[in-house]
Amino acid sequence: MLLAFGNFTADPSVNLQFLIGGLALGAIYAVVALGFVLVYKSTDVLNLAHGEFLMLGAYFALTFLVSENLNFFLGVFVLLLVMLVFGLLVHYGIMRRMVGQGFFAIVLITLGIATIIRALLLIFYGPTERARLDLLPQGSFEIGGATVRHVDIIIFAVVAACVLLFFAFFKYTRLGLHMRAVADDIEAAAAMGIDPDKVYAMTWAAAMVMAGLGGLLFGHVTGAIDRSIEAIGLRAFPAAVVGGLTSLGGSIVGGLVVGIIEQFANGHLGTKWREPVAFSVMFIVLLVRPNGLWGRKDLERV
Amino acid sequence: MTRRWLKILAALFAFALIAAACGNDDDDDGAAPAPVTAEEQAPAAEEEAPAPAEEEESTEMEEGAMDMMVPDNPDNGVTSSAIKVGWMGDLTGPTASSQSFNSHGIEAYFECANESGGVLGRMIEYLPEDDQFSAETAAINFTKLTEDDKVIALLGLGGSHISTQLQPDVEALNLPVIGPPQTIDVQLEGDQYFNNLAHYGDQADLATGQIAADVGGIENAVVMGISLEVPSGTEFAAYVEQSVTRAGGTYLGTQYVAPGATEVIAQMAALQEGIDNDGANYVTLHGSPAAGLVVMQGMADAGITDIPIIGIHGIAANSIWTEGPEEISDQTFGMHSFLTANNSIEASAEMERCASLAGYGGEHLNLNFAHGFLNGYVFHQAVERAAETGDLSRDSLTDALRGTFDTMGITCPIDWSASQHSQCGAAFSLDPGTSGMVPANPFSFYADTFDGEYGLEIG
Repeated sequence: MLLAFGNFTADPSVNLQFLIGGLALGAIYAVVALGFVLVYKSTDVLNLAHGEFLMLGAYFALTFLVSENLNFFLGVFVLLLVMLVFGLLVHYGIMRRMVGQGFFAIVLITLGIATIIRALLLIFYGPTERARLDLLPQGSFEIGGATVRHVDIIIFAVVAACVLLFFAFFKYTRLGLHMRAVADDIEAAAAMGIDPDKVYAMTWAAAMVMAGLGGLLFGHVTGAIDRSIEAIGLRAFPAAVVGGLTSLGGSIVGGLVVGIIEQFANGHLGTKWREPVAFSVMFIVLLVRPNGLWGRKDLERV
Repeated sequence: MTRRWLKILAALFAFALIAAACGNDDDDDGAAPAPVTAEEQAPAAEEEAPAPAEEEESTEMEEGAMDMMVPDNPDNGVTSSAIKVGWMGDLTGPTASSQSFNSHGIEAYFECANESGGVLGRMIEYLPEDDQFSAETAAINFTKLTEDDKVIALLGLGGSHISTQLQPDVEALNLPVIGPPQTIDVQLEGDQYFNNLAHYGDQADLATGQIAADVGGIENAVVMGISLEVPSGTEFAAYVEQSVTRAGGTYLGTQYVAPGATEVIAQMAALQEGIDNDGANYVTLHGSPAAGLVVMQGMADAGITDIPIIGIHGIAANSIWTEGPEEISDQTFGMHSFLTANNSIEASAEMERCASLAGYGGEHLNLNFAHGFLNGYVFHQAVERAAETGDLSRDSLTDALRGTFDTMGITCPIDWSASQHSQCGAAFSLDPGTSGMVPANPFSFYADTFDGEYGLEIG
């Protein structure tokens, strides 16, 4: 009889499979967490609609790459462009008016946006689930008896490239510098001639492009594309918090840690333990380090 | 200021256009009904209006109905112009891709019935309530339907956690529930559930019969279950274990999948272990169509492509075959109790016409749509039968339902006079030729597999 029905299994190849599966899942969480961090770091907004943004990206990927059958690179370009425009719309249409409003009011606004996106997708795409995307290489190979999918390697590479790109962007570009300045002290930044409005708009646009990319990647590894995939936002939240909501690198490490912990909890304890264990890790980290492992500690000067 | 708003509106409009362009992919979801001309409709309405299969009985019933003047009973949803009937389920939530078709089927039947003059000279006022698979929302909807609308019956009550929660209220109100989309044990406790979908125990028996046929005898079967971690998933897995082991097969155990899971790596590792160490050669699957696709994709990713699957009715959705990995879906069956319009049954033309009339063209090829359509037809017959007593109420309708009903060939003839179950089901898959569902074997093939025992103690 099986050893692995919610019980510990010592089989090294099975544990290696959990580790590889955890890393693959963690890479997806990292993509989502990057989106959380980008917006929070630059605008102080906790965007609870990020899972829906990613879902929107996955559905748009279906449309441009499958239904419209555009060339892969053209389709991805159109997808990211549409998401960028959508990000600008979110800022200029909604979030701009919320600057200076209470933290929870803004969080509620993001929840409202999430609800509208879910409703629009139901109206325009219907309730039926779709097959996942298969435009990236679908093969796999074995290491130590565990299966590694090519698509997981690609996701890793893309996530790593995104992180490097963001580091370079924040460190070496004028806009990146402006974003950091606005995040640190909006009034001082404005006094120095930086337009916070423009910075916020670019932040939302960049976050939405990340969500589009995340949707494209997640659409290749999820079992089916339907309106339940927005839950990835909630599931990746511990990753962002563990890493620290202001740390790009932390979101990557947080994503990988949470992904691995979830897989091992699922494999050894049973599926019902998967999320409780992940959130417990988040609680413990918050108790020990309230700003996450690599988060910025705000100083209040009196 | 105005220009800025104009820009925003223009951008929103552009987004709506993009979304509209995307929505219309390659299936019929949400698509407008196929155009039907008045000339086409008129003869069809005369020839194919919903009516019991037996012509003479039908005529008598219709004449009787004309004569029947049942008094209004607004406390039970019967007014001078309408008969109110409700539906509770998931129209926009995580299981909408299966449950919403049930509602559409009912709506289609009533569109046709109302077009033909209604029932007992009254229009059927169909009141579907969306709970998005949430027990809290369902409780509110139930109160609305029973206390505000005062419906005479529910045609469906979706979600095992919801029917479990509402069981005492359904019983207290003596509210008949016709054809719920799940048939779990808690529904055995009251007399109000009239099941035309095979009970979970029956479906487990049916699965055992199909497995035995596929592996050359149940003694050769080594079965592993994969279920969603919800009450009905636990119950179905327990029934499968009971049915397979009683028949002489081996049941290895159950792997549970969390609702909303997007990958099943750990479950696949266990399945592979079951194949390698214990010779697992069949998988039973429980869950929504999306959960089924997640498991099937997980199997494909893990290279587990040579083990057949038989799943409970959520796995009998068309999308399992149209959207699932081909190497897995080719050997997948979904259990269900209803035939779709592509099966050349008596209801075929009527189902198709009513689907179009209601704006759901194409859905007549979906098993859950057929289920809903049948629920409407059974309700129609029961209302007319209840009216023969001179009173139309929840009580008289409940009594009238304890009888036999024609099904227009959608399922086996229903006989609820002795038991409120329907031992009728088959293993289905998608027929690429018609894009509709077809049974692997006729209902009669599986009839001997049902042991007729209901209720189990789950440890």
